[in-house]
Amino acid sequence: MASTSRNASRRGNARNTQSQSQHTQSQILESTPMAIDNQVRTLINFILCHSANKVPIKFTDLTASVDNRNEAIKRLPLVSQLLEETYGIKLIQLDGAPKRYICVAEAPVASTAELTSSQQKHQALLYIILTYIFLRGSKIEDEKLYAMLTMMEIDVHEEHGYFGDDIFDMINDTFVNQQYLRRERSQLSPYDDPKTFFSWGPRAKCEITYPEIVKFASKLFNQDVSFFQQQLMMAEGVDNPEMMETPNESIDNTESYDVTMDTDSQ
Amino acid sequence: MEMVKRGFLRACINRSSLDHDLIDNILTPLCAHHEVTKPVNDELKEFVAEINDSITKLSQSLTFVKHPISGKEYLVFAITDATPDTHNYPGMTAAECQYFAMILDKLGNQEDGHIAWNEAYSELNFKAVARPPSKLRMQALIQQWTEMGYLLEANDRLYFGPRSLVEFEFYLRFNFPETIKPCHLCKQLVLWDIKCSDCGRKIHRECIRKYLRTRSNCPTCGKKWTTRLSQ
Repeated sequence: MASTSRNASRRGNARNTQSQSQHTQSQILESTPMAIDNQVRTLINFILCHSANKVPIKFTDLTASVDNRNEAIKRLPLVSQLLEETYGIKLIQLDGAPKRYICVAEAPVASTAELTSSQQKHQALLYIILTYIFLRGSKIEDEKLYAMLTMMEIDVHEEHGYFGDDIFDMINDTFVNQQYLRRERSQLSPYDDPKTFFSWGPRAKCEITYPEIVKFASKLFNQDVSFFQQQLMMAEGVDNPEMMETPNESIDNTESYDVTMDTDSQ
Repeated sequence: MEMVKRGFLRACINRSSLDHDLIDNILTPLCAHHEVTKPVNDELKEFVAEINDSITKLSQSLTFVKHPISGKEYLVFAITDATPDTHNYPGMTAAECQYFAMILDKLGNQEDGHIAWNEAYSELNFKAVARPPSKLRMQALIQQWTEMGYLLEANDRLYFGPRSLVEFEFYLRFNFPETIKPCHLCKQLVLWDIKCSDCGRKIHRECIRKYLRTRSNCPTCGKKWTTRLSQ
């Protein structure tokens, strides 16, 4: 795509931020479609490099890699498009401030061979934790999670032969920073001590489907997938409360702590 | 097939440097999942060339390279014309980035292009760094860079890996003029391979083998070629 003379002269004045700031953001976005220039390449390589460890990319860091904020904003639509078309990577903005992005692949890995050895260990542990949260109604107290892992002979405070010696940090720092787990403190009632709860984070919800976790659970526990049908319905109900039209047996039979299913008010 | 290409590209970016066994371990389930026939041999080369075409304009490449030391062929994802200071992965401190450049320097300054294991941990002058990495961390980094293909381990020594040969070709060519020179015949860099016993100039084994079918002298110094070609 040949760049127009307007774009070429604008790039030539890249250091002249005064003329840039005179344009409003809408004018910038409505300008001639961007060509692939060095700043686009820088942004793409920055995103690919920083998406490797799955920690959200701050918009301010992204803009620091190119000339200035406006240049980054102008190129972001093209960068998103190229990421999706060439690499099958979606750039997703997370809720809240400061502005941050995560990269999510269009499809999960087809095999663990696509992962490095340390990523394989992370994924194994993560799937065990996500499965447990899923089976216990989408939210679980930290101590109960650690107790479950201990039952599987994974002590979070001790070195493990396969998972290594920093399991506690992996769960509380790595998985939380990577947005796979959400960690929040809350009190069940004003008389209780505040407790820490884990639930699926935004990245887990984007990347992993419940049927996939059910398949993992069926292998882990050596059960048929239908064994987890109630949990599957409940998890989908938590995500989409408007889809739950009538109360059903599954709610009575499963253990749930602070998941409320207020179907009568629908 | 486009989804398979993109999935394979993502895997290559993640693994960075892949031998044929790993390529197979990735492609077999990936193609099975998308219900397409797995490309093999020439089809594989074409498959990779098509992916490469889509990323060249973004200053990246996905190419096969044969490593003279291991004799194996690797598929390498590389950033075009990178330099060691642009190798700046998040999670690496400034000291660790410096360490990476230092290791490449050590290798580049060696006439034979390889160093012993312990040389990777000794005589390191960290400039303006409050806390150089611990030996344990350095060992972990060396292992990580070997996994990524920046380094290669063989016979208890450390060599430039396939990814370094592709990604830092430009950097190595111009920063180590005494030790790293292009092959007189094909003009590509030659680090190991074979030397003329007279002038000591290195040349690719394959290049000199073809050349000696019709000539009998060293292409660099002109004297009669007397070095054995077989390893």
